[in-house]
Amino acid sequence: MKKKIALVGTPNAGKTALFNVLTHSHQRVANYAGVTVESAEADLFLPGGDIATLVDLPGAYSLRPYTEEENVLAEALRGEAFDGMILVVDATQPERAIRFLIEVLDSTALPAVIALNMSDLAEARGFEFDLIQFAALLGVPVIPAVATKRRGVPELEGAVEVALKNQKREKGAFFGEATTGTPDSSRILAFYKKADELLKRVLIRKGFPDENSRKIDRVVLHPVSGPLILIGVLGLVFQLMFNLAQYPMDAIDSFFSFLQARVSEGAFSPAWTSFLSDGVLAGIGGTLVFLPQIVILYALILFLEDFGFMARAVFLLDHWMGKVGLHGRSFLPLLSSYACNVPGILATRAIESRADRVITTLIIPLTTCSARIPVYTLLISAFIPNVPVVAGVRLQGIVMLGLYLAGILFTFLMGGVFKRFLFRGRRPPLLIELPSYKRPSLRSLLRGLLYRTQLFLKRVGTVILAVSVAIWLLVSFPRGSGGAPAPVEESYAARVGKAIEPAIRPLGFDWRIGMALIPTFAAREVMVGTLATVYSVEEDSDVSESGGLSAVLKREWSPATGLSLLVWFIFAPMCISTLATIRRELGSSRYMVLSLAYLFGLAYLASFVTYRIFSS
Amino acid sequence: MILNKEIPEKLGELEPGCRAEIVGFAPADGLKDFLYRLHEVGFLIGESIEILQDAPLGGDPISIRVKDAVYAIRREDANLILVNRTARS
Repeated sequence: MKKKIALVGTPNAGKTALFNVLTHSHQRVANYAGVTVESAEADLFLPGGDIATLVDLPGAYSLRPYTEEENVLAEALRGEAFDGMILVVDATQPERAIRFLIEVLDSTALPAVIALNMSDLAEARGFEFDLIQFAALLGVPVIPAVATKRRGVPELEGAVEVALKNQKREKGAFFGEATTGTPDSSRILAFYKKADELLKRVLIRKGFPDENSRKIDRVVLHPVSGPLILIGVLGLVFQLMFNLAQYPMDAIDSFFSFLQARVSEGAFSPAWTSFLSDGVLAGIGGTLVFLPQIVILYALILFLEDFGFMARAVFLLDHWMGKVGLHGRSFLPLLSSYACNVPGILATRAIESRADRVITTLIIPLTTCSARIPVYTLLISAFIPNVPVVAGVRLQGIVMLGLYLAGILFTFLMGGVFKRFLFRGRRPPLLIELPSYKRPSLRSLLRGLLYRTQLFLKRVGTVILAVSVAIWLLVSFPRGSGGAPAPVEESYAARVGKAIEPAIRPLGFDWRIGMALIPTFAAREVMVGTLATVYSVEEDSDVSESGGLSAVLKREWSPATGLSLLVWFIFAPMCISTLATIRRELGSSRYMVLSLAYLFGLAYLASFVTYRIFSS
Repeated sequence: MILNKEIPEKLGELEPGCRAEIVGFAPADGLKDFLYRLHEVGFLIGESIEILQDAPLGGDPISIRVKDAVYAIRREDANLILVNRTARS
């Protein structure tokens, strides 16, 4: 049985950077203490040859749970899941570090090793610690470390090995066990007094404040340059996400077209050819094509977060987000949601107040996740003429931007509505640290991206693949006489489509669109593939490339129908993964049903109005 | 008008550039958790703090240095913290 080591630390102490230099590949998602924690775990090689598992638990200021993330940490340490822990603290924040250390060491008897991270910055700013005294007073080894430069890594590995074998500690040795209970202020104050006394014996010299970050903040948070920088950064993020991603996306697209061509040339029976080409390859290829966009958006988010910019964005935006009932902290989850709603919802765990967390989660599906892009692209190229409007700007581009803006508008609008009707009363308080600016570590960035990519590929290989095959089966069966493909109109999928046609007729949708909409509940991007399958089977021609499909749609649908469907996807109710995540994260089916209902209502209403306007 | 230095001010009413010492806390009805969190990150009686900046277009939230860290807090929430000014820069 491998020993399990918890990696515990304060926020912004470089915990994840340390995780990345201590462990090697084989990162996995860990589940602990009954809650699904998206904590990473990976192998930690000890000098003696043993391999332990290191688990990256969420950061916390204290063990008194204030946010969901901190709750996860407190729960995890309370259980019996771990054999030891590495405590990561920021050496440039000695007061906070020592309080956190005492609290955690008091709460459990687990063998522990302390990583005094960012010790190079602390030294440069004049902090000086008596490390021997430090270790003696706390009764655990204290290792100075610089995670971004891999400094202190072998020492930590050695100390962990020794601690696992020999360390004996008692719970509550400093302040008694009850430091973690619901505190009254006087108890907290007494606790901190004790911590400060301890610190006096450990910290030989106090350093200077961080003047560099202060100078940068004078520009980044400046009344004029601050908002301009924020807008510039966001603009750049979306520019890079779309433009840079174009080349790898084209490459992935061509690769799958090539595979489909090879399958058609192969010696398969027509049914197998159709299964492999229209079922498996079309489904997987149609989803995999977003990987570049997702990777680029996450790379930029991780970079900005590591650098320290994201907290500043919250500072700049909080007042304005407050006007529509949102919390500054909602910014990061909302931004992540532009790649995919699911990680966006997971990111709401860092929001302290339940009300803000619920509201943010409910409106996240209105952000334009990348799965909608292919649907937008297809419908725009089919139904919006690409005429120039003003100097080099064409109508198609304007419509694309308009769809994004509509998403943003409704995100804020619904945020205000939920705030007004679900959670009235005083705005929950804001407290966010503006951490020192740091140069992001490339290694951490790459590991974070690799991890995100793994999660995405897993989804493609499971959910998306299964849905694609299921759709192909529904579209291709029952077979006609003698096993030949029957007309699409008689397939199972068509029967479902025809059954719901009366309900969607007012939106200008016929049964073909109906049957293409059903699988979008599994994944929105499947829409394009399904339409391609439906029309290629029906027309018996190759419409797998989007140009071909958009020409077919232009011929088959009225413009009003096309625009109505385009508007439907602004709200796009709703992908199953998102619904499942909402239910799991908010712990209630009520909010899942609410989000499904309101998105459906909005989509239906907006499409209905659009269809009426353009068909008259 | 005579200013009585001993009457504490609310932190949320101070401008950027002010330095102050924390002298107490207002009653935190319904905000106990937030008050504890303030204590935990270093807002304690006797602590020296400095208002660094306020957010553009609205002046809210404000950034405050306490110990070696900087936090953003809304003025409304910062009013829980009672201070005496120590200097202006």
